[in-house]
Amino acid sequence: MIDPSWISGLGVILFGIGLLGAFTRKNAIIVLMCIEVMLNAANLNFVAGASHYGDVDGWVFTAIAIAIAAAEVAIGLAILLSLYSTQETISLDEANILRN
Amino acid sequence: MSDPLTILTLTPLGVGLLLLVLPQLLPQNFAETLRKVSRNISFGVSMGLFVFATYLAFENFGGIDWLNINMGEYQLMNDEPVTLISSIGVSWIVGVDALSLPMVWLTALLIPLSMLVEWDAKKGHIFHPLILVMEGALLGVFVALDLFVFYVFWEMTLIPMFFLILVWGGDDRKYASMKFFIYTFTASVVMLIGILIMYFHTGDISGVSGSITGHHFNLIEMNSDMIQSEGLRHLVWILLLIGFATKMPSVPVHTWLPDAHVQAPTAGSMLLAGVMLKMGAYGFLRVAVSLFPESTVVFIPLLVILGMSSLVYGAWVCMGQTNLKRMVAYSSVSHMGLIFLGIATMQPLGIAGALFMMFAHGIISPLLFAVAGAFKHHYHTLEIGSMRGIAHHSPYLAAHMMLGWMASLGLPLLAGFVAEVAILIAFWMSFGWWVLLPALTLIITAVYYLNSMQRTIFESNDRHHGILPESLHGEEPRDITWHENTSMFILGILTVLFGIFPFLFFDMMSDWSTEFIQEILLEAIINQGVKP
Amino acid sequence: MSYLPLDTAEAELIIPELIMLVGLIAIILIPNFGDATFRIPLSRIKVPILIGGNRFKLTSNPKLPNQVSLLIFSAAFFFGLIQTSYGNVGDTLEVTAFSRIFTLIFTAALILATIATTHRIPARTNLKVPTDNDSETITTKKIDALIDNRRQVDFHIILIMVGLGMSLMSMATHLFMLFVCIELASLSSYILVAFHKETKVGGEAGMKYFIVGSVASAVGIYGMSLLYLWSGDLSLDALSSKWMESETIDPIAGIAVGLMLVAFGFKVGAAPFHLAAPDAYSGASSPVAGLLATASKAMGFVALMRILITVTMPDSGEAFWFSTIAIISIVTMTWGNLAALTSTNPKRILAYSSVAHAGYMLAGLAAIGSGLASEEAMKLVLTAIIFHLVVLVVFKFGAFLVLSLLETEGRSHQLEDLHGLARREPLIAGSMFLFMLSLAGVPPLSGFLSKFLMINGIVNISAGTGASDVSSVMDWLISVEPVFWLAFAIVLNSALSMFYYLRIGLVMFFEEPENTKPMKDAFSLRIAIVLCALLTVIIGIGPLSDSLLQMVNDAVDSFISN
Repeated sequence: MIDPSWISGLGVILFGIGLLGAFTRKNAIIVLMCIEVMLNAANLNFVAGASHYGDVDGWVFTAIAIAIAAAEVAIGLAILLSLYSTQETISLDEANILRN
Repeated sequence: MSDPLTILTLTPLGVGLLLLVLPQLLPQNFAETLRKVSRNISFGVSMGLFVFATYLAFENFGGIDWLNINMGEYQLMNDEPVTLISSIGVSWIVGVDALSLPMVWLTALLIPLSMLVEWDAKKGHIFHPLILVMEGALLGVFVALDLFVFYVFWEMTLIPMFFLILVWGGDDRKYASMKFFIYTFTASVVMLIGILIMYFHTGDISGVSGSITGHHFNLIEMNSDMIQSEGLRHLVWILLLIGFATKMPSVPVHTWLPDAHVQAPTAGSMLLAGVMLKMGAYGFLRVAVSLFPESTVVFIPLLVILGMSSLVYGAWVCMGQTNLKRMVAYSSVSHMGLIFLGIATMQPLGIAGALFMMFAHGIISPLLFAVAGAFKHHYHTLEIGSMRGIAHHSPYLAAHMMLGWMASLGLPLLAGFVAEVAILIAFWMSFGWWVLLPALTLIITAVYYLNSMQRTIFESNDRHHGILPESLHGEEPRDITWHENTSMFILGILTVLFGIFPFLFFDMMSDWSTEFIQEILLEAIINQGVKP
Repeated sequence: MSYLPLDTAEAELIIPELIMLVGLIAIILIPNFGDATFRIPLSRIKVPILIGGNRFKLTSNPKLPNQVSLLIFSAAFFFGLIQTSYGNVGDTLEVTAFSRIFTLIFTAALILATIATTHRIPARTNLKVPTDNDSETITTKKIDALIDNRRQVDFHIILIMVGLGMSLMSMATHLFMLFVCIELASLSSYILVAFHKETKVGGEAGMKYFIVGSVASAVGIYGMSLLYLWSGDLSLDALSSKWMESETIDPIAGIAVGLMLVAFGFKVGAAPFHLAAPDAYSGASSPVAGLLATASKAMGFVALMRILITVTMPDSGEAFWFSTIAIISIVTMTWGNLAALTSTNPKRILAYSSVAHAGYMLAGLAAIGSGLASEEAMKLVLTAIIFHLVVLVVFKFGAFLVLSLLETEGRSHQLEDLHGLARREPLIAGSMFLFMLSLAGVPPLSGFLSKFLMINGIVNISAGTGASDVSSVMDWLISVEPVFWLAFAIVLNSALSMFYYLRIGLVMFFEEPENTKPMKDAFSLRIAIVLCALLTVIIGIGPLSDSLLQMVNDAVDSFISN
């Protein structure tokens, strides 16, 4: 069995990648993916915790977190589509009529 | 809530607000009728209140011995304070003493007069109700003995005045009203911190204190010992001073006043100068000096500096003005400086002089602003230098102007003189020959003004016409109308009356001041080692 | 053993939420009721199954969803108001006076949003399908109106989900439950912001709000997972006792709480996570913006209070987050006010003012975190914060209602749109001016009372800390704890904010309107605005404010005792 700290170590790396990506990339789809990566990092932590404490809760959290992530992507893509259909861009920098 | 002071305060508020809101809600034809008579209703109500206030004052001259009011003994109090917000200890408690009674009477007097001055100025149906709301707020400030209620009324006076300036003001009214509101609002939130620190140090009195907080706002129950730390006491005193000095206003926070005055409509200026400025002095004496006598004594030099610089600076700038209203505004700054000087003397005479100055300035400066407003109304300008020989065209206006200026400069037998002399004598007793500075300032400005008034009012190149300002475009100027004349006449009569018989109020004030010194300040004066 | 997940006693506790749940199902079903029948196989008997077919006249009425959701929220509000019994529901929910007052805040805000939406997304019963003879503009207009009719249900379904999520989150005693409920409410609010997807601003606002919001919540969930690694149990009780046990703060737990603060900081609009808020507010329709400024903010503060005070507040001494929150609060209020000064879009101004208000409330939290507060003082500050959240619904949402009224004309994006409102609509302009004064904290309005309580609480906590034996002001100021300066920060910011609040008042009364015609006869919206204005005044001083304060105080008591 893998030591839980390895799992959460992977989680840290994933979270770092996700956070870095979310702040530096301008393409909305890539940002969306980065958010997913961050959520998965959290899931890894839950799983690691569950196996460390021998607790079922962590697995339940993971399942629900996956569901939340799915809902988030669904909504995100829908909003993205409406942005694209009105402004024909999915870059977060180019869409800035609100500030003017 | 059926005691006289509550009625006096809440009636104008209620009627004013009703007159403002009802036309919006009623059906069209009723609303039209109401709009037409709102001016008459407002004037009627304010007259009624004036009669009521006079009755209270004189009825109680017999019933209450105003001449022997000890500091802290409030008259006409509502016996059972009504709890407003029991969770934090706010209650409706009102009362007057020799400090506030003249102010209450003055407010009740000036409101109908200022309405009268603007009687036919065609200012629509909300002008007069706004003044009525203003009256309620002003009276509230003077009668409230609960600091929360005091603060609420204090801020409430801003809103009608803001609208008076904003809607009916001169060309630059937007700037002036914003400046007025923000200046005084900022100062009073600073004061609010001071009030809150005091509040936090009040004790838990059952039935008075808030159920959640365990503190109360009751001014009567507060005393100077409640705050342990002397440094904190000084801090609170300074926070309060910032709020009150800005309202008075004293140099260096006076700059809102000239702008507000110049832009405000005549009635607004009259109330601003007549009553609102007095709120600062009143609050300073009522809260800051009464509760923190030691800090007051410690900061006497600060008071002297503030008062002296207001006096000298106000007078100096006043001389350079050509705009009539601006001139009166700066002379107000100058007179308010005298009030600080009077308090700083720590003599009964000085404080009584300051009190009388509050009252005297409260009838003289409205007279001057009424004159300035009428000048603007009939000559379409405020530039005093553009005119020579008003007396030829508008004899009544010229007479009122002359009387107003003389009173303002402290001519003997007029109300201002009594106050100035009392303050200067007290100042001499406390500070010796330093008195020459304020005295000389007063004398020099007096000479300057008498000279300039003489030219404006009497002198003319042509015996029959004088020089008329260009803004008339060659029209023949008219003299003031009957209602302006009536209003100014009443103010003029009072100026003379209180100049010849100052004891009507002065005795009461001087007794109160003596008591005030003995009860409150004497210990602090002795402790701090200041020569009494 | 009951087969139902709830027993009767528990169900009674959560009547408002059950109403919303049933309402959610009802509002999905009701518009679909029709005369469809089902023929039983091998027979001629047709059984009506009601779902589908030609819809009945009543159920096809496009105004129905709005009325249904108004009914649902009003019922939820009413039952929340009369509720007196409290207790646990299952393992993760607990109904207390605290959760109840927040349910009331949320449902009140939603009622106002529903009323405003009636006129913001109007439903028309007598619409005709465009024909070939119609000109292009008429065709577009008709199609727009048809679209509006079509999406009535969508909007209200999502609105009810927001209500359900928020209401449940205020009762959650388990961190994960709390997070899931927040997600339910926020995911729905992303849709609401982007609801007008045919406009350019709608999509953009939704996108920005969504991206920033979901990054924040992903960070928060990660923080929560770290907390789970640290403690192995996410119920608030367990977390708090574990926190008490550990003598020093475990770095993992510290980081975890910090990350969660990011998520909740976004919800309340604290700097530097507030940047999406002005965009979201100005892109969303005014009712939705009002919802974000009041209900969503209240939700964020519930979460903050849970994590900062229930879990991580030590029994004595300074909380480790004290200086962070104190600095954030000062930055937030100053930034919000400065940004509002330079803005010319009324919705952005209100958005920034809402940021500033978050700063004031954070200052209150920081004062608690200083560890100097006695229990009394702490209760006072919490009362101030919750009272502020309550009255925000009245005057902040009131201001957004006025903007909604303007929006029925299609305008509220420039200060010019407010020009001369006093001449067109004196009563509405007067109400708006009251709202502005109340936001600025001018007495005797309710905004003053709440700000007053806040400053009072902070002064109460800090003024006693100064040295009592010094005789000069400077010495005293040096000796006092830095918390004291938070009160000054609030006061100076109030003065600063006066500029832009007055500016809104000024343009309404001073500038000439573009047209002088009165606005649409949106009766219910007008009633709501005037009611809000009235409440703004009477909650400020007098018996109603007293009973409200008492209610908030009970809520704080129940919050502290956990």
